[in-house]
Amino acid sequence: MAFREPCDNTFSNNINNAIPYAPLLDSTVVAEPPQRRRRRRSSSVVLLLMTGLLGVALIFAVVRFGIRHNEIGSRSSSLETRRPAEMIVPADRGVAEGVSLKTFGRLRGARAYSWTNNMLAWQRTAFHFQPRKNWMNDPNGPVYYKGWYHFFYQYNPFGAVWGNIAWGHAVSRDLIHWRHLPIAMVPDHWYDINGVWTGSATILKDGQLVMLYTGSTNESVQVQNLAYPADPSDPLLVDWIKYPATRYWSPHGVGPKDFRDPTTAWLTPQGKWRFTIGSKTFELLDGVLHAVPGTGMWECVDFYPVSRVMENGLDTSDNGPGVKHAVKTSLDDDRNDYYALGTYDGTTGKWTPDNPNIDVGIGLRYDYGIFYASKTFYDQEKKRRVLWGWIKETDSEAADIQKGWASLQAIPRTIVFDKKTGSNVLLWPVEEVERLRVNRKVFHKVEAKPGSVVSLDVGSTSQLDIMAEFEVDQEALSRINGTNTTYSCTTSNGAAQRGALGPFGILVHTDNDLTEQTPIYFYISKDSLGNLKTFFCADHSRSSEATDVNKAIYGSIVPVLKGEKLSVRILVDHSIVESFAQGGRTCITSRIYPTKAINEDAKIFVFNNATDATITASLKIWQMSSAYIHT
Amino acid sequence: MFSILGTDAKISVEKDENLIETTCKNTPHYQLCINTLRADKGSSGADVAGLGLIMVEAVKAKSKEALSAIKKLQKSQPKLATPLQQCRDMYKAVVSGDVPEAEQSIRGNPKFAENGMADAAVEADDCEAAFQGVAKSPLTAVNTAARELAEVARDLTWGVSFCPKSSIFPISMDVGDGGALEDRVSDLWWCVLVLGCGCCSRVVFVGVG
Repeated sequence: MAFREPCDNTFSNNINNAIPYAPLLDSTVVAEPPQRRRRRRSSSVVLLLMTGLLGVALIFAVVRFGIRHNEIGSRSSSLETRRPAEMIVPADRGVAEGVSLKTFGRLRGARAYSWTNNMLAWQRTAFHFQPRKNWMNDPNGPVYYKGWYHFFYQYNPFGAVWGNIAWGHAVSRDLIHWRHLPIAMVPDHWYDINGVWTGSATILKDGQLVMLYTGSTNESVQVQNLAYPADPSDPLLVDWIKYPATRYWSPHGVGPKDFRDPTTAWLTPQGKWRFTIGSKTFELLDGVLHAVPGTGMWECVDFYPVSRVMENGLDTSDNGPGVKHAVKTSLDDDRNDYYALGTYDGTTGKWTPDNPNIDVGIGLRYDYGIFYASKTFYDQEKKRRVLWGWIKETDSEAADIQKGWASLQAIPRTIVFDKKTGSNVLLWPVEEVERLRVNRKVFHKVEAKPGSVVSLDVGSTSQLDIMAEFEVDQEALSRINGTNTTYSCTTSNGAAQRGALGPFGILVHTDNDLTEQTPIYFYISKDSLGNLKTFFCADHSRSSEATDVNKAIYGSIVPVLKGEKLSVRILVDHSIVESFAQGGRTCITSRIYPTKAINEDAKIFVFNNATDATITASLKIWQMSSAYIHT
Repeated sequence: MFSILGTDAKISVEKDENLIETTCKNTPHYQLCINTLRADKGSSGADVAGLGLIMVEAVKAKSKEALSAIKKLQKSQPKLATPLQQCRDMYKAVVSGDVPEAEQSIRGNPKFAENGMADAAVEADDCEAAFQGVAKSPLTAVNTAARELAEVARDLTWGVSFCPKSSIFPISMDVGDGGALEDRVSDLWWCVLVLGCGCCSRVVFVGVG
């Protein structure tokens, strides 16, 4: 596919040359109000943008704070000198396709559902992170500091839609019970007046903490800014200072929205700090930026090590033979987070993925449901890598405005390398969430014949932690003739589509008449050679009678190794359901907005809609108490 | 042909017209789009985001007009108090929520601009629906106008983050490879450079050497 050349001719003429970029600020220190004395950095952090990491994906930036200018780094290898091929125009998008993601559930002319306050109030969660009201999106700068877990987030202080973006702030001892603090950073300087956008935290070697974040300037140009705690001895890090003397790199001729989302820094073997910024590959040379083509731009890039051998997580700077590095990116268009595992050479700055084959359409995802803009941090206290993910609403924006809030964060998940498969990571809710468990009920070997539903009496069902194992009738598994029909969660008819060996699983948020139901299920397919494939899906098609909510079916293949039982964990917390198959090999986050299956009218069931196989389920189900998030 | 222009002022008038026409063709109300944009002096020399902003301002103006009308009706038609109050809430949401959302996001985060304008259309529509079964709506004209303007703005902002579908690109490649791989790399680069964001979907991981 080719594209039309951009009309900015100066850029295309200059791609072969060093492009001098004027910093947006000269290096003169800007006078600060007396109550905020700027502190001079003694240790220096060098921001160096290097070429060629991954060959495409990332730029590594090493930045130096302070007023001195120093030599930065080696010139990259030969610059790409090709001019772009002539672009052809993509096919005009039909008006029918133009419906926003937000209005997917709403056909033109259809009326919005009449949500009652009762229905909307039920949607708020009991133990998931969310501010008291208004809009939230990307997690920012998660970090463990002086005994507290800090969480910052994109926040609109004035409404339940995106806008006026500031950094909200909360602290916790255990990643579950949160205390909301005052807003950490508001848009109040020319370099972030249009929004204090996403950023990351780094703890320097001497224990100091700095934040790098993206600001949207008064001209809607995006620039990288710095902030540091006003009082580093305050473990709650309430006040922050923006560092005004940093040079802001914003190359002319490149699209202003191309600098996004700086991520955490790490220390190379040479003792240099590197940052990645999701954008094209740039190299910084004596204050000058070169564009190197053949690279991609992604939002929310993340890059971190995982141990191949140990159970614990790894500090961001770790490397060695027992270490793999994961690269993760959020794609703006399909709004999903993809990751890949590979090997990182800190000396050359190159990352090589494990899977050398061009595998069309294969990209592992952290989560096959609603899960975006995710960010990891290294918890040096408990030695684990923890993942945050933004869970947006999938109802209408009008309903969000009516209920006065929008968006959640997933329960933080640990990331470990899956030693059994060797090719993916395992995500699992942090163990601290288990402290909320009460009133355990055990169901031992509940049998569900083909085409049956079994009620589980657990009392209230809006806040649950369900651990379940399924066994499939072995006789049916071997007897059934395989076919060559393919299955896919997303294109199937969900739990209503019957196969010989599936679907079967659990119905959550289900009313007594099953008019509203959310099946979380396995579907086993057998091909003509007798190979089994297991799919793990979440079906929202009948989750609500409302017309203006998402009703898609999500999921993916889940690897099941010989001898393993099928296992699933489901965290139910009002309008969010997080499902984990095979210990976290495949995860699906769902947003559910029932009109009937709420409060005391909701039940859960084991179901088996297979035509041939009987299944046996063993379950442990706990009620979950509230996390009492404090303002 | 749909084109994306930079903010360079040296763009010919002919090109502007082409941009306005092409952009409006992608909206459900072509003539309304053309008329609204041409009426604004800022539309010459504007890029797609700039045109989007003009439409957002038009939505804002029409919503304020609706709020004025509602205020008058609240005094003159007390029997319609309930639907009028609902309409007032809806249009206030547009002016205080959807419009700023679109204004702030259209350069840099255009997906939120699309959300905001999509919601503005919904709110206008819901206002009209509020009168169903109560009385003939006294706001039909302004509701229709507001909805149509918002639909145009929504589709315009979508154009700002125009992403060609079914693009498959490799990550991690050696530019010296040549051949099909090089073309795809170049496509990726230009895709993201010009169209921005992670527009180029269906990421494929390729190892080299």
